[in-house]
Amino acid sequence: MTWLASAGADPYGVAVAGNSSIKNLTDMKALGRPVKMTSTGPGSTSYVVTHIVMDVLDIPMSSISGYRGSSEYVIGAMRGDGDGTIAVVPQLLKFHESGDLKTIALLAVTAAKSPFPGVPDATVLGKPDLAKLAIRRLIGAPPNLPDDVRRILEDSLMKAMTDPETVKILQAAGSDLVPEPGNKAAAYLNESIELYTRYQKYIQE
Amino acid sequence: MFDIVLPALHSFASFENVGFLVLGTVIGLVFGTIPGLGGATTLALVMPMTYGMEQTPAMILAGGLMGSVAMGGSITAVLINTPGSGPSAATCLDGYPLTQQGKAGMAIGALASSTAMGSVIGVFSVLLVLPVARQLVMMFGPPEFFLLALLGLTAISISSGGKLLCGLVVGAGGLVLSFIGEDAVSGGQRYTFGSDYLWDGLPLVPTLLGLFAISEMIDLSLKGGAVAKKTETTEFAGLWEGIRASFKHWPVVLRGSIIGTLEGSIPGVGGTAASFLAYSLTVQADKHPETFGKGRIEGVIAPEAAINAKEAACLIPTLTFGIPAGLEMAVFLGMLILHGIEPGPMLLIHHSETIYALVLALCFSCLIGAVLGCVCIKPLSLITKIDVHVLVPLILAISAAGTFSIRGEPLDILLAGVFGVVGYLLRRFEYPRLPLVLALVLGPVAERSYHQSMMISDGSWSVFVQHNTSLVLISLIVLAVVLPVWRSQSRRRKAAAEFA
Repeated sequence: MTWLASAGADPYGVAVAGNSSIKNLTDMKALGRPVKMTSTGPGSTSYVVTHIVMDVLDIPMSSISGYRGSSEYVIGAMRGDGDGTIAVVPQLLKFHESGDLKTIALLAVTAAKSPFPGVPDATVLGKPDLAKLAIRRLIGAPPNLPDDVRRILEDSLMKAMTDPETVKILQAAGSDLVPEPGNKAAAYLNESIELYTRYQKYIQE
Repeated sequence: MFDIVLPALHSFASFENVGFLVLGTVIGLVFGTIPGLGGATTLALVMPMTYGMEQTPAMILAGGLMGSVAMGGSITAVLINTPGSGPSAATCLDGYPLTQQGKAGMAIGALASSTAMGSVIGVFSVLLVLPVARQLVMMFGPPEFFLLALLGLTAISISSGGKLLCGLVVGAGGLVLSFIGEDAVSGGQRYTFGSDYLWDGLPLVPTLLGLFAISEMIDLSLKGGAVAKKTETTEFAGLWEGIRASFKHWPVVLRGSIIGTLEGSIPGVGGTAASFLAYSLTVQADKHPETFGKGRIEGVIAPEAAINAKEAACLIPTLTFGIPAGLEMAVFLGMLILHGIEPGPMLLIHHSETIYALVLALCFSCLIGAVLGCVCIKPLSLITKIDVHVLVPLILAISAAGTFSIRGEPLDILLAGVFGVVGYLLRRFEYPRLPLVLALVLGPVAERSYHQSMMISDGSWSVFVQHNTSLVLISLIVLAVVLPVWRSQSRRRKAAAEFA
């Protein structure tokens, strides 16, 4: 592929039901049994990410899988089907704000303002690699694209993504763009591939 | 409640908004009649056109469309046994036999009135439930889904039309077919024989189109003539009789609406299950279940009430949690975001007027659709008099195009053809089709939620009796099994006493 741009990323967070007795990752570890995490089925991104995160955090887990999408398994966690769940921040945020969910870890390196004040991020947890799991919105084109065509597309995309009207529409929809050029997109992809390769046993499941 | 609804009602005082409502309703009715196209595709086609519109008119247009699309599909289900979408397939079971008996007017009348009543009940339920939607969604977890699916599956015995063994054989076959594809829990592949096409299981719309529309076209081709038998009249004196039937059988409307509202509000079961569950429970509750499938008006009323109540109720998880209760709602979710409305717990605080205008648009659309359906009944009914040599190729071409349009997958057309032959053979050898549909629709729900329940409880069956909702569902299952047996025995005792 020829990578043209990165439009932004949605990092993951670890959350438990709003009324759960689990307050942080230490409580999760101290349960004395594998933590039950809701997710979609084997082979899905959420299933693989959940296993990688819990492996890196050294928390034994079992999966409550079979939900048909991220919204369903997040609701499953709110209902108490499992002890917790791992989902992307935009999905967790609205339920965190309403008190239905409690986010206990943010799997991102938050340089400035965190969407969950007081919640430890990947740096505080000492696992910055977990930030590489973030869902990235990359834009690509077929391989071996001529350089002049690539440049035109790359410039046009950057122009479109920084256009005030585009920014306004996306902000109204609750989504922010972080436009970056194609070389950054390729670098992010390589980082992800490297991380997922290390944990390919969960993908092969 | 009225302090919230009245400002939303005020939106309809504008000529522009009423125009969008009527436009949405007409688009929905027309596109709904095309098999396989359904609400999702129609909404996806209309969505870009709403880009420059204000929030409220855009939602009214979408509400008008979503409210009427199901009715369009049900009209073709009644007239030519060709459901426009999965849920409308349940209406074929008794609606089409009525048309064959020259009672299309009565069937359309009942369809229109039950649509309107179901929609009003559904919208009223949504208005009541929206503020407490969270609690309702939380009441249904995997154990409750399993019991709900089991309740539907108990109908296999009663929906066999007196041929229990045939019904069980077909039902078991349907369950096996429903297991084709990826196991959602283990990720393993089953019965796919190395074919990528089968990874996601059997797609429901081509399967149902085959079982109902194509099997009927095969039958018509072999018999010749027209849908309505020439010796009988397809006149519309029956229209008022049909309209009155929904009022006369109000418990059937109410039961269908409650089932539709419940299944629409809780994500995970699916819209097709609502109409078939309403139909099968109506059969179970009736004193003469063996007469269903041969043209009972209650067989039209129950699924129609459920479908239209469900349309409104599907908004509950979509709006309050951002969980689309089906493909149509997934597209609608995109439309909400396009208009800067973010679904979630805070939605009713930030956009209450727009959302209640949408709910009312759904209701008004069903009412307008019902009136239009009745007004247009004469030209619509002419379809039933068209010679099969013209009708069959037309329906087959439209069905194939509609099937292909859903996923752009040519094999879906082949699958519809295969199930057309299966459906025809079932009819030819007098095996009931309903158990097959029930198993295909409810099998995956039952299997997935059973495994999830076992994972939640570490393998303990006690998970099925831990909540009040589960206990209510278990009671209904027991009732659904015991009631027909008790009725049958009491009939036998009465007959024996009369003989003696």
